[in-house]
Amino acid sequence: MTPRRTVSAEPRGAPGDRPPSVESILGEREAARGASGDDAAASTRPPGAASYAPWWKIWLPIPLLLLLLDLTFPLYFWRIPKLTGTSDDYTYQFLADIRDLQSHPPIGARVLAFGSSVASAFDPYQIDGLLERRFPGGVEVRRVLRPGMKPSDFRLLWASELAEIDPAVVVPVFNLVDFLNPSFERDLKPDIRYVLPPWETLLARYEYIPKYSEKLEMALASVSNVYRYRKPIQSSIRDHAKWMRSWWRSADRDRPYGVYADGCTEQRFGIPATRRVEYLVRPDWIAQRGRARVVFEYGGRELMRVEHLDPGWKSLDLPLPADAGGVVHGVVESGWSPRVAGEPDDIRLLGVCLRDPPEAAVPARRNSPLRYPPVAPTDTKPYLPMGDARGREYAEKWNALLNADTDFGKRYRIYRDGKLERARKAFEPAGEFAEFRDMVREIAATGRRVVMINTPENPILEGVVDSRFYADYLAFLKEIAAADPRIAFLDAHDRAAPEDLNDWHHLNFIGQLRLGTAVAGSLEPVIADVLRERDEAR
Amino acid sequence: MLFNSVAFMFFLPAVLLLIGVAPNRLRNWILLSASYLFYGAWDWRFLGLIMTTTLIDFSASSVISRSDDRQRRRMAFAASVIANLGILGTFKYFNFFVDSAAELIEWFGLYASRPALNLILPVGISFYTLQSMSYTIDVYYERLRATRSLLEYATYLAYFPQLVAGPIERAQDLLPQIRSPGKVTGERINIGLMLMLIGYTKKVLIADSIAPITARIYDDPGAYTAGVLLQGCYLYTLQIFCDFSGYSDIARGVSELLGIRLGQNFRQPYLSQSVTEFWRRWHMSLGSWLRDYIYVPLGGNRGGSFQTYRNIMATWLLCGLWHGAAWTYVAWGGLNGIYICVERAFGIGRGDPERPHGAAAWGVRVALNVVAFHLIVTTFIVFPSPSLGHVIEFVQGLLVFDHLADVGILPFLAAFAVFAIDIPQNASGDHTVFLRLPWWVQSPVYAGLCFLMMLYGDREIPFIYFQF
Repeated sequence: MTPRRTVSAEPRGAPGDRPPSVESILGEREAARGASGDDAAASTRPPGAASYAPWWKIWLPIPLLLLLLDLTFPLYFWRIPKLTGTSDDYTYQFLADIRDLQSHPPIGARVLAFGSSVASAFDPYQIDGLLERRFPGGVEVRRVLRPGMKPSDFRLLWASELAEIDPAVVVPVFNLVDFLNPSFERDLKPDIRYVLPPWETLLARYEYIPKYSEKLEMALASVSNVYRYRKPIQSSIRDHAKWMRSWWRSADRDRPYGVYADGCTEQRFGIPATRRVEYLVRPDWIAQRGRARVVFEYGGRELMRVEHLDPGWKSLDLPLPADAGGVVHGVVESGWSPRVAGEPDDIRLLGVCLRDPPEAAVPARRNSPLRYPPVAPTDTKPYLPMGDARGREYAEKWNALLNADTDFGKRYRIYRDGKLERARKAFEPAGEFAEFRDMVREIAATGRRVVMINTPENPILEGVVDSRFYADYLAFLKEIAAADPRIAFLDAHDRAAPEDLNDWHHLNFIGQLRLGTAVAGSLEPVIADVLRERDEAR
Repeated sequence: MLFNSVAFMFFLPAVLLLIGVAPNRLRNWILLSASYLFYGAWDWRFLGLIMTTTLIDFSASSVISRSDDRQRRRMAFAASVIANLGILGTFKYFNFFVDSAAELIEWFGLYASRPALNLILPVGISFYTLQSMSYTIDVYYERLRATRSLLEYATYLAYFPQLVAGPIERAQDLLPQIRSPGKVTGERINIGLMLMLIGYTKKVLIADSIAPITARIYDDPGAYTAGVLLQGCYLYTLQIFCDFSGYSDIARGVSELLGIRLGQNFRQPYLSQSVTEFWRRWHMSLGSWLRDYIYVPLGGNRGGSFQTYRNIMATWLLCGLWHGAAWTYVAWGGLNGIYICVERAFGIGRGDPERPHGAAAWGVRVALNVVAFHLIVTTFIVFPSPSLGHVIEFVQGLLVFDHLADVGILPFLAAFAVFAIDIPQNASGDHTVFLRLPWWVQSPVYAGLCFLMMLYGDREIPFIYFQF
């Protein structure tokens, strides 16, 4: 640039407009930084710049450290205990379950159930307990569940992950809702991506991932473990922070808790620290679950782990130190339901019944134990809608919730309308239906057994199960089963009363317990076949 | 494109690499193309607007610079100012002024139709418009020679590190560096990376962690106790600082890697002892712009007290309006103006305070810090509120003074994080003071911060100041 004029310090257009000194009421301005980038750097050099270490000493180790963290990720992360329950973070739980299954060889014939939130109808503890009685030591039942996952998602996942898990029997647990509104679910839950293999997902779903930045994220996730698993790492950090907070406040846990007035406990309970503990394992518990497992802990360490296959009074001597004070904590693996045992008004989920219970220690203000599975901390209340209602009262309560202007109401009206709209159309085995069929066939083609379970529909939703569409849908599923002897089908769409469900298609734990017996029954011959084949092969 | 996006993590190395390997004569072409790509990633239509502004101001300043005809110079100057304010007014203020006028007419019981323009507010328009206007004004008043290179001018205006949220750079500072960038030395790499790290820590780890909490509280202030509202006030005050100064730090750091030094925009503002001092340390590039192009031309402090207070209030009301087309922002500007006028009346906040000696002096300083901080907190109640009704609801809820324990520990944790950065910077007068630590302390700590950013960086929450 060749300037025509020299720069003047004073403005020409309005001479004298600017005073020689202006008191700085607003921001200060530095002196002009000079005629080039080097001048600018020299005139505003930080005062301590001379003492800085060479840049490569400070910054080059950082990518190396990050690379080390990334490469060694599988060696450390999955060993960190997951501190929270299964429903606290489904993504983390799902990935941890998959990893656990892949890293441990099957104990006996491995049964792997999977599905979206409706897969909560399949209780692995119950089914495992019931099958264990029939095939002692010969079966291992596991379930992986991720709300919102569609058959196409599972197909994508199993294409790369199933072989390492090596199940003998695969149990897709599904409901009509899994085949509806695929775009609705994908838009609603883009986080499903976090549990799928990133590179394969990027290739298969390229057009469904709307932004380039999201595509870049998927590409980055395919080369970095830390980035790929950032959600479970975040969860783990959060859980440990919570744990530390609760540990800090652990004085509150020195009092008994989780014990009802009749001496029965919740699944987690605390009792005064005494060496001798006596409790009753109710016959209903064994009938519903096949077994009862109880773990006792004291001072942050496990004291004793017991498994009862028979009901009756049990007496334990806990190895407590002589000066033990405070409480012993008990955890039962899975509880039993008095309502399922024939006491319709009792909807508690119980553990052991103590002979000498402390004073009742269950707070008066409690959430209903009938929990809808996908519970986030912020939506617990709307997702615990049904309480202990039954029959007409249930239907009235449900209708009120459904018609309310809440997120729950809106969401479940969409589900209802989706199901009803589909039921009015002709059935076509395309889209997610075809994905499901192909997935089942692909799994069966590897020599594994498949037992498809169609979960219950709520009887109060009229116009779906009695439609032509639903009949064709069932025929489609039966056809899949009929085409291959390794595939079986359990149709449970009509096996639940309204009060066994929390909504249109999610069973509460009572419905779960009731259905479990039928599921175990349908798995028995399949497992018997698998074990017989294995014996013959030996 | 956001600084805190995965796309930017690919974009920046690509730009640095291209500039590093390309011949010098192509450097500004690459920089301009990268800047347009960066800006167009939001919406390619925004590019038309910035190009229009570029052409108008470049042409006007060329005419001003080449002509000795006073009338012609004035015409070109007026055309530039009208065009800039016209574009800004249309895209940012049209609906606000129409609605406000209609409300006024309706207040008198008359009917007023409300023609509304369905326009998106282009990101960063307020920033580059001020930058462009200052160039023309400086050329008109001969504080600056006009550049003859459209490429240089376009690069100056669209320079991507500071395009969308400042610092608002004067042409005297930035144009020479665009024309002749500095050598990227080891020291500059150190400073650049350090500033980026500080900026990302503030934005990704502090501001974005706070954002969901403050959003919930400010959305429905009526639903919370005074303690929670107080928590919201404190957290928002810290959030906006980390968000905005974080952006400035990243911008300065990125620019340093390109061999261009940008001006300091924040100087530990929450360590101020008065609101007046706060505004010398907060968004310094805007403050100096308002001083030089509004306050001083209005007469500054050269008239009597009344004129000075009038000028301060006018400047601050305009400052509020610059921030957003809503009465809440005007009220925010007005509140700041009142504080500054009151402080001026009592002789508070003139010049930077000296470092205290002795416990008593330190006690006074800390007390003044606390008072000033709380005055600033009160101004930031207005800032994120969608309407004046919300502000009133918020203040009413706060004045109940119930459940004050609900404030909780979060604001203290956030403040600890902020001051852990600010206090060493303030004490040393060096933004990159942490570089003085032994390298073997720095590397693992910075790696830990980068690890956390990898985990939490995918939230991609836009910077607050983008909306202005």
